[in-house]
Amino acid sequence: MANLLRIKIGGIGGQGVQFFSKLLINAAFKQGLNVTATSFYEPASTGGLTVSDVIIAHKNEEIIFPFVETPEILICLAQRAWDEFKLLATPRCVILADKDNVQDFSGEEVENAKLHFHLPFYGKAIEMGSEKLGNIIVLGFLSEMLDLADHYVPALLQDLDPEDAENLELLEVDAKNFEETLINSSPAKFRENNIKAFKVGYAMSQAIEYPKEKIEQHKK
Amino acid sequence: MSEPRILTGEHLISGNEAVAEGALAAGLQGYFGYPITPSTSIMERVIKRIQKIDDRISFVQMEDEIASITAVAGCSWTRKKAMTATSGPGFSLMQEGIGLAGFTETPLVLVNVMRGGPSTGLPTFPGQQETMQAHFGSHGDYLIPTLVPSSIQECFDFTIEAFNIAEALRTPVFVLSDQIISVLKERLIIPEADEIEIVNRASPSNPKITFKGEEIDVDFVPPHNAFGEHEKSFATGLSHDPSGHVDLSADNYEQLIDRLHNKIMKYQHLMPQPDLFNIDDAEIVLVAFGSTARACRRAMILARKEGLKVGTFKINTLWPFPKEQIEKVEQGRKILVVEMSRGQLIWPVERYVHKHVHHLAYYRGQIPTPSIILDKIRKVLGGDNK
Repeated sequence: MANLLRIKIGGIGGQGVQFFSKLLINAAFKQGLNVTATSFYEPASTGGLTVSDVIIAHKNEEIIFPFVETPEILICLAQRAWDEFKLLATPRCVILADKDNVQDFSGEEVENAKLHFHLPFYGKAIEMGSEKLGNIIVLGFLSEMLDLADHYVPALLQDLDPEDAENLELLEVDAKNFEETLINSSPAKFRENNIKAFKVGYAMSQAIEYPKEKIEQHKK
Repeated sequence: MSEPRILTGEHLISGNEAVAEGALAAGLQGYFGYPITPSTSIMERVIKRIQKIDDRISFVQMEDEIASITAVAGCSWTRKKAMTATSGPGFSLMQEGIGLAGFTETPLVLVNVMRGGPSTGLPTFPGQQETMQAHFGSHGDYLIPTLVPSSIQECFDFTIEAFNIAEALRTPVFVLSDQIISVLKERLIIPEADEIEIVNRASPSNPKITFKGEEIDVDFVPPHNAFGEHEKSFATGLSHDPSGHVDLSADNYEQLIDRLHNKIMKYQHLMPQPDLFNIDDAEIVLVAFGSTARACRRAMILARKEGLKVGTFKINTLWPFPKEQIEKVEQGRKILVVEMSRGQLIWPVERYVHKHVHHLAYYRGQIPTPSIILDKIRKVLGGDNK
């Protein structure tokens, strides 16, 4: 695990799952990391299940199998995605689920996960004027979560103490790279709103006090 | 603003985009196609790129796949490097044209991105069910080199190889990709232009060409007398002599069928050879190609952590089948074929290893995951012969 970060993101067509994954891997790639992203979608592109598996690794680490069987981070943007993938949420997993679109979010998978967040990503997007910004808000959240100054989440993902996690550049995808990718990948008319949405998501993660005692709890 | 034909450098792109870049790097001059999932993004990338390249490259969206393959063949007969790409039903429609191109010794590249079939089947899900169609899809006896990439780098490299084989041996060449590889995004390194070998077919005025340092024998591959270059040139789907003139005699037909087969077999060693992983001490060898080969390699690593001696035989050229290599590998070892079809790759493997072959046939529109393969390995090593 130490050399790979495995993320599975699922939603329904139209939620921007594939764009999310494209931005994530481009930002990581820009930083010199090795990445893969798979793309799964049902033929009905709007409303059908759509999934992307992202693996981030050191530059010289070969990613042999690009699909994710045991994600370190599981992101579910729709109920169908959660129903489909909750069994993959091992106790090693950090789960992000959208509050409005994943209404039935409960069970031992949630309780056992290292961290779980059930947050109104798409609700915030609607407040901003477009549901289509939801994926970018999640991206902003993930960016902050993976780039915490104290390395809390990266350490958690690798079963390390944050104090021992000074060399975790692998899991840090710098917010600057996310933003640059966002600017380069967004059509001009969406650019400004996308950046705003990214910052909203970033702030959502900043506002969370990550429960450090969970590390100790899992070490036991 | 113009762009170079060869985008030297590091890229993060999909398998289909890498195929398009490989074709451009190999010297593509004509693309004729009809869109179909999941191959369409090859066409889209070609369209996008050729508008920015100064070289003249023809593109026509044809009325269907039958027209596409025929236009590719026609373009090739003007000594231009031409290709098309398709999937499932489109590959079926192209079979007549493929036979014509093979029989008229027409260099071309056809990329088939496999999805679940038959018929419309599973348009957006993967399959490997054209394994045998690539060999026997058209009527008559023929043999078309078929390369099977399993990574984005191989999508690029094998497409260049495909053009070079097509030119060197005057034959259609298939690149058999699959839905997973087609949309997978991964690092691609495109070398400098002068590091890429480019082969151009022989002509009557320049009959000697080399491919990977080897001179191509004109007795096996006659120089191409392309349209418009000489007073007369002939191309016919009827049985013909080496100059292209109709000759239906028994001896000539037999010689022609043999030569078309033998020219591919003679230069089989110049095509991508299989990759062998951990074979030396292996008790069981996984045999696979394309995206399933990656699942097998991962399963192999997981199995070795459990102390199971597993190797992987990754096929890179499916046809002609790597007969000699598999014969060497199977000695004293169990063989497990893993494929996304009900049983196609197992046919040539069974034919060449002369013993019981274990089989993981996974035809669910999904890739068999490493844990599924590992489970099968445990069963086989545990004595389950199903």
